[in-house]
Parts: sequence; C-alpha cells; structure tokens
Amino acid sequence: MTAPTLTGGTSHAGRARRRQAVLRRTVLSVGTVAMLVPVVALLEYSVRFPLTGAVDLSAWRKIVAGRTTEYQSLAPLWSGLTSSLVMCALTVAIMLGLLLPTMVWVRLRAPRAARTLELVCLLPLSIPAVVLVVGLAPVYRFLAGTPLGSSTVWLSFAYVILVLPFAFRALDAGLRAIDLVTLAEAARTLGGGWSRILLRVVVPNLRPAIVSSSFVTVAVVLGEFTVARLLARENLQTALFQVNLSDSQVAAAMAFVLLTGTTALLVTLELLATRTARTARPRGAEPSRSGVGREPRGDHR
Amino acid sequence: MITQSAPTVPASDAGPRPETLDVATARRRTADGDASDVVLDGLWRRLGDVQALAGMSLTVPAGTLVALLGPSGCGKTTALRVLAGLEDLDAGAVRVAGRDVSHVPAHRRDNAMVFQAFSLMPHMTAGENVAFALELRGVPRRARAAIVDEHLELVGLGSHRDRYAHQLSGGQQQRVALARALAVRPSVLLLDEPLSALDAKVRVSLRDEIRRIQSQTGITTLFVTHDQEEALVVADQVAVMRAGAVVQVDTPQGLYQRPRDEFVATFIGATNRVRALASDGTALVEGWGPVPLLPGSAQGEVTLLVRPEHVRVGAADSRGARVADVSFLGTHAQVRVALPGRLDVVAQLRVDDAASLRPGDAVGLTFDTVPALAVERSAADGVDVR
Repeated sequence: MTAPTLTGGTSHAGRARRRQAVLRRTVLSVGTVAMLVPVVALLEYSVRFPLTGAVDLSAWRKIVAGRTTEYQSLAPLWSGLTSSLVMCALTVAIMLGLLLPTMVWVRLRAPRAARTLELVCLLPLSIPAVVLVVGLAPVYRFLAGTPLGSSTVWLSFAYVILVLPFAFRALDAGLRAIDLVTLAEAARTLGGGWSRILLRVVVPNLRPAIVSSSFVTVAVVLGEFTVARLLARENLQTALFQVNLSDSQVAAAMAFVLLTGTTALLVTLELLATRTARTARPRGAEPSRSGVGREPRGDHR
Repeated sequence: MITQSAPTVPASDAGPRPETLDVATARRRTADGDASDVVLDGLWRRLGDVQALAGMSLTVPAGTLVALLGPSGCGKTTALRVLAGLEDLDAGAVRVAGRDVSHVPAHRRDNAMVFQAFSLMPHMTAGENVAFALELRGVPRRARAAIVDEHLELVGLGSHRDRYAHQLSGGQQQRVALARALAVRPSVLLLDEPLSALDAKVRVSLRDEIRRIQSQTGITTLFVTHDQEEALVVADQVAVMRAGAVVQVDTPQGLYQRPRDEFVATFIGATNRVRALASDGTALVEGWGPVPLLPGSAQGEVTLLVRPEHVRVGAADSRGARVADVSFLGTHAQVRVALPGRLDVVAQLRVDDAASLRPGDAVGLTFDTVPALAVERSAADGVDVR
C-alpha cells in the first residue's frame, strides 16, 4: 500500500514542480519581451529613415562624429553629457564624503541618533522632485550670486539629497554586516586615529556597499530630468529632450547608448563587488562579527 | 624566551634588542615600588541609569598579571575600557607609569587590547593584522615582517600567516589578536574576557598560553573575567569587584583561603553555611569543637563559612546527620549531608573515601581546624531547632 502512495506523491510533487517551472519560464519570457521590445524599437527607430523606412545610419554617424561644428544642433547633447558625467563623480564624492563618516560616527559614538539619521536620509523618498525644487530654487538663486555661479554641476548638491535614501540603504547594509564597534575599538587601542580607522578599516570592509551606493548614485544622476529642467539647467536628460525636438533619431540612438552603457556599468560593478567580496572572504564565509558564544571550527592545535 | 623590538626603532638601527623581561625581573621591579605601575584611582562612571564604577581603585604592579573578577554587571569591563580610553571618566584618575592618562585619547595611550568578540580585520590576513598594528604604531615597513613572524610564532601560528580571519578557528583568531596586541609592545595589555567565546578545551589551552606568554614578556596585564577558575589559574593577583568597586585584592591562594567578606567567600569557590558562636577569634560549632576565625569575622551568633574540602565525614554521632546524596566528579566526590533543622553541609572527599557512602547512611561530621570566615547570621540560614 505504501509504494503506490509514495509514487503518487512523488508524481504529484513532480507535476507541481514542472508547473512551477513552466510558470517561471513564462513570467520570465513575458518580462524579458516586455522590456526588450521598447529597446529594440528604440534601436530600430534610430536606424530607419522615418518617411521611407529605409535603413539610415545618419543618427549614429552624428553620435560617432562626437562634438563637431558640423552638427551644431547636437551641441547641447555633448555639454549635457559632460555635465552629467562630472555631476556623477561630484555627487558620488559628496555623498560618500558626507554620508559614510556620518553613518560610521553615529554607529560608533551616537547610536541613539541612528533612527533620526535614517529618518532624515529616507525623507527625500517621500518628497516629490517638484516640491524639492520649490525649496531648492531660492538656494540656487543665492548660489548664482556667489563665486560658484550658476554652473550646472552644482546640481550635484540637490542630487545628493535625491540619492540619500538609496545610498543610505546600501551603506547601512554593509555596516550591519561587520562588527564595526569592535573593529574600530581594536584599531583605536592599537594606535589608530579616526581617519586611519575610516580609510584602513571601514572603507576596505565596506567596498561592496560603497560600490553599490556609488552605482545607484550614478544611475540616479544620469537619469535625472525633473530637477534640472525645473531649475533650467542642462544635463544629459534635458539635452536629450531638447535634441529630441529637432532630431529625434539622434535622441533615440543616444538613449539606446545610455541604456546599454548603464546596464554594462551595472553588470561590471556587480561583478567587481562580488569579486571584491570573494577576495576578502573566500568561500562565501560570513563576515567577521561578534563571535560571542560560538567557536566555528574548533582549535586545530 | 621572547624578545621584542621597540616599535619606533628601525630594525637596522636597533642594535641589540631591548631588554628581555621575565616575570622575576618584573616582580623585583614591583618590590622596589617601580613607578611604572598602573593605578586606577577612585574611578566613577555612570552609564545611563547604572553606576558602573563607584570609586573603584586598583593598582596593577608593573610586570604582573592582575585578574579583575566579578559577576556580570559589576563594572569590571567598564574599568578596563576606562583604562583603555574607550570610556570616559566622571571622576577619578588613571595613571600609567606615573603619568596621568585620564583624558588621553585611546590611540595615544600605548595600550593594546584583546576583546571578547573576535576583532581581527576581516579583509586582512593574520600576518597583515599584526603588521597593521605595527603600522599604526609607526614601525617602519622593513622592520614589520620580522616582528610579525616572531609574534605569530609566539602564539603558535607561524604557519597561518596568510590566512584570513574566517579561515581561522575562534581560538586561532584570539591567538592572532593576542599576537597583534603583543607585537606593539604596549605598556599595558588589556584582556577583556578573551576566552569567553571559545569552547572549554580551547579556553583552557589558550588560558595557559596567556599565562606563559605574559610570564615570558613581563608585560603588565589586566585580565577581565567572570570565570573564577580562569582568574585563579592565570593571575598573579586577583581583584574581586562588586557593584563598581574592588572588594578585595590578593593572590589567588590568599583570596581563596582568606576572603575578606561573605561576598568574596561565596563568589570564589563553594562554601557551607554553618551556625556557630564566635568570640575571641574562635567559633564554637555546637558539638564539633572550636574553629579558628579569619580577621574581620563577626562575633556572637554567626554563620561560619566552611569550604567543602575542610569538612570530614566520619562515624555516626548523636547529631543525626545522614548522607543525602553522593556525586562522583572524577578527581573527587561530593557528599551532601542532611542535618535535622539545619542547612545541608557539602563535603569534598577523595573518591575512595566516599565509595562506601550511600544516601541515608548515618554519619558524623568534623571540620578541619583551618581558619574560616564568620559572618552575621541571616534569615536564610534558618532557625536552630536543635
């Protein structure tokens, strides 16, 4: 009596597994198609002459030509791209320079302020960019009157606010994975000052988290449109919008480049982060943390 | 015997390595009243609602290992952290080698500490961890490798130099942490329950190694623990703490044999509570004759604190004592004897002596004439119904 029941059970479980596999594949396929169709359409649009439908690579030739006097209408695109790339670097630098030491300090010296810090960092999530601009406009008007001037790159200050929630989450996850208090105290008793602790203890152990937060920052800055548009600054997205009005094929080609470029960046950084983590902790071991009450493998001596 | 290079002197310029210390030298220096003692003078520290330190004072003689022993929450770790500079002081002073370091930041105090939690840098190998400590103390790069090797050898992990923390067992990680602390040749070595996270066997082996290494190097060491056996085995002197203050400081033997008060007597080792009448330095235990008293004992109707190894079990007498149970503990046996109307008395006997005893056997009790502490009788000691 037992055997048929078992067989029936196994067969039932097998069927359920197969059904789940089919469902998984279907969802994955539909998702992939839904995402790829617009991308393919974007690519197709960029290589066909709109009126005749014939293959036409002029948009790509304009992009490959880069910033030349021949294609004056594309000038905003290049200056927007330059501004956005500079802002990526600046925003990452300001974000890390502000957030990392603050988070480390709060963890080590003011744990009671942790909730407040989290609240402040997550606040931008609940403030629409339009509302943010209302508050930022007077600040940027004031900045324009200072030696900093009205250069687009100072949008980085606003972007730091925008990326705070994402960067905070990434860094917070990294900090939770190490016993920061013990490591910092060990370094201090051995003679390490705060800057040494930050550079030689915290940063190397948080490398994957720092890479993640930096990537999120780059992604947000490269894709930002609202704040730049409303503050009348020219970044990559606003330039794309402007170019789209006069030469939509170039805008489509550029959007395709950006999309694939960003994806490539994501994959590269992810691989880099994984490899860094593996180098530091081979065999996917747990990061060292408070080992109270455990003795992992016994003493080999 | 280990020698250690001074961290600030490049190896090539160092000439003969600085002095080799052994514990005998250290003791000689201490006996001469060397100013390099570590002095905690009237420390006060409040942590939230808890008065962690309440006028705690302690002198750690140079070159010795002093264990700070006490129950959880007695302030021993706070005292260590104050000495390390990791905790601020509300009042009092910390002096190392005659210099007041009370307000010197932790990284300028010339201490090194081994923590209860594993504290090796996870992104560095064992060797890099030790070298990192030397780097923090400004030891030139070319001098580091030799010191790293020397200290990893000292803790028996010379072949584990290139392993990361997660590739080492808990005991090995604490050994590397010890090597890292010793390598910087600190004025004071601070050990904050470094064995608590280890299993029993490793704990004993590392405990013995700490004792050996401290004797070899002669580094002034403060060892915090809540494990009385650990403290008694490792330390030259043991300071017992209670409620933020040191109750008694003595050698392990002195502490065990001459406890100053009831807390120390009951915290260190096991004790029996026996009602007695005390006067003129002697306690009369009804029917059992006089027992000499330790200084500081109470007078009048008292409770005598008697160690189980000072209780003898013999032929039955008129007191009606009977064996309640017998436990064999390998090296000795523990016999619990019930007395009518009194608290049970526990005797520690040789296994052979206890072999013939069975629960319910009528027996008689006697006490060795070893000085014992008499304390005020409390309600917990029961009413004498005789």
